[in-house]
Amino acid sequence: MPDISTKLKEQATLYTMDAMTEKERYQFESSMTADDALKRYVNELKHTLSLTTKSFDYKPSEEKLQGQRNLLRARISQLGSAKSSIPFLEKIGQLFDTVISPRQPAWAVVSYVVIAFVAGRFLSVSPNPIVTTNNGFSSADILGLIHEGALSNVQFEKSDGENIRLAVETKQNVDVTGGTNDEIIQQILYYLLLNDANPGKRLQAVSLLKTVPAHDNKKLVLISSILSETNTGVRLRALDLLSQFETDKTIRDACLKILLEDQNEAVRMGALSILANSPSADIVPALRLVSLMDQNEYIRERAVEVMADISYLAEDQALEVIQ
Amino acid sequence: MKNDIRQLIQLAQAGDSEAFHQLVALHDEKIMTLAFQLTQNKTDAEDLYQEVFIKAYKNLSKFRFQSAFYTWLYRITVNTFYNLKRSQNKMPIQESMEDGSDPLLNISEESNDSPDRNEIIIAVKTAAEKLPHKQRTAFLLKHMQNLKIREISGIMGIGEGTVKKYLFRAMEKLRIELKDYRYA
Repeated sequence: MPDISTKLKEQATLYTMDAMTEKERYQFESSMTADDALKRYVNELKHTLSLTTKSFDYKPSEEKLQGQRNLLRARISQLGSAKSSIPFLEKIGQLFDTVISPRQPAWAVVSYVVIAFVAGRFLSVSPNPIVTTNNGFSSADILGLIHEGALSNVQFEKSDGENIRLAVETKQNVDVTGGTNDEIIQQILYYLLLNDANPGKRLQAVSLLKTVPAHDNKKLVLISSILSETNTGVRLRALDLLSQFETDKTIRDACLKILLEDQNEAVRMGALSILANSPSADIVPALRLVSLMDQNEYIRERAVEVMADISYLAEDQALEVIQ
Repeated sequence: MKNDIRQLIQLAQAGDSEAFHQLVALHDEKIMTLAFQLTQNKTDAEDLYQEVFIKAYKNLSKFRFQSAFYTWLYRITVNTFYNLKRSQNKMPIQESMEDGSDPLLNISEESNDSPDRNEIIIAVKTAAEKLPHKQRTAFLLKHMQNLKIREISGIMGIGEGTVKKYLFRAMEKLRIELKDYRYA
């Protein structure tokens, strides 16, 4: 190929990448008509771009995005609760400052102290971590690794009814031991369930989550897992744990999606069982579809039963109104 | 739509986290796509996605409507990616896929590509990985995200002339590296 000036090559790049103004484009096209070497060069760039387009093209699935959104919600809700702990203490302080004055009787002061103590005990956001680590690693270091996404190699060393021991490999090996009430242990288990590439570890994580107390973060992580998990065993266990929560709208929407879309019949059945626990008229259209279209006969029959339960419930409510 | 986004940002800045999640839902497909194109690995892309939106949440009060919201998110994505790369270079080499599969082949959701196609994908990815980060970022933002030079300049914090230089250098290297596959 005859030499083409660097300036022309630069222009050719901008031309093929659609980064020229109308005027520049017109001028470049004019100069290209009389220059075969430049035409060939532009052609090579176009083919190169075409190769890269095919290779870099990527569109994340809606399920994947939903899973990530749920995880983000859980993380942001934690950030929010961490922030709110200090204003809460300030409010308690303000309560003392504004309400208790020297002229108030002693019984009133005692009452305020008891109220503040009880409120502080039940409304404080997170207890002090009781997790133990070695090699100079603190709980904050572990949380930092989780937030950085750098917790890449966690081994389950031992777990009994009360304590879980994990080996975390970073620049050095760190043992982390703590109960399922501990926030750090919960964070690691959530992280493993939603991020670890190894399905065996995800299965262990979801099994251990059984003993983690029920709260909103756990619920959101489980919902995220059932929507994004590829392993059937993990999905089934996550659904089983989700069935222990009160069926609110978020759980109902997730279960409807699973019922309509999951490939595995046991998983669809699990979702239907959760929906059956909290019969609601707004799930009838989906149930009607399932009763006609699901490949599994038992699921079709169960959907009909749940629809019947919902209609009895509606009749009962109507009767109550009349009476 | 612009007004809706502006309103959502203002609500989120006032502490309405639901408004923030709506902003996420409006922009996250683009961010996840860019995260994957930058990291070339689904797990790393998911980590980057999380980091970007956590940073956006924490720094939303600093957003002053001087640029479009999506370019602000792109800027966070690119900067967070550079930071992650820097920290990874300091850390010991980690396996990116524990199940032993080749991350280079793990590009499309459906993998029914022919061996030839996979060979091309690997060649493109290898060539792209050889590019300096800034050249690769400029290339991806222009070619895969269809951004204007002005927008890329704002996202990367460099002049428009420098963006053009990066694009030219990236294209020239890719053209040479991929010459054997061009007409495949």
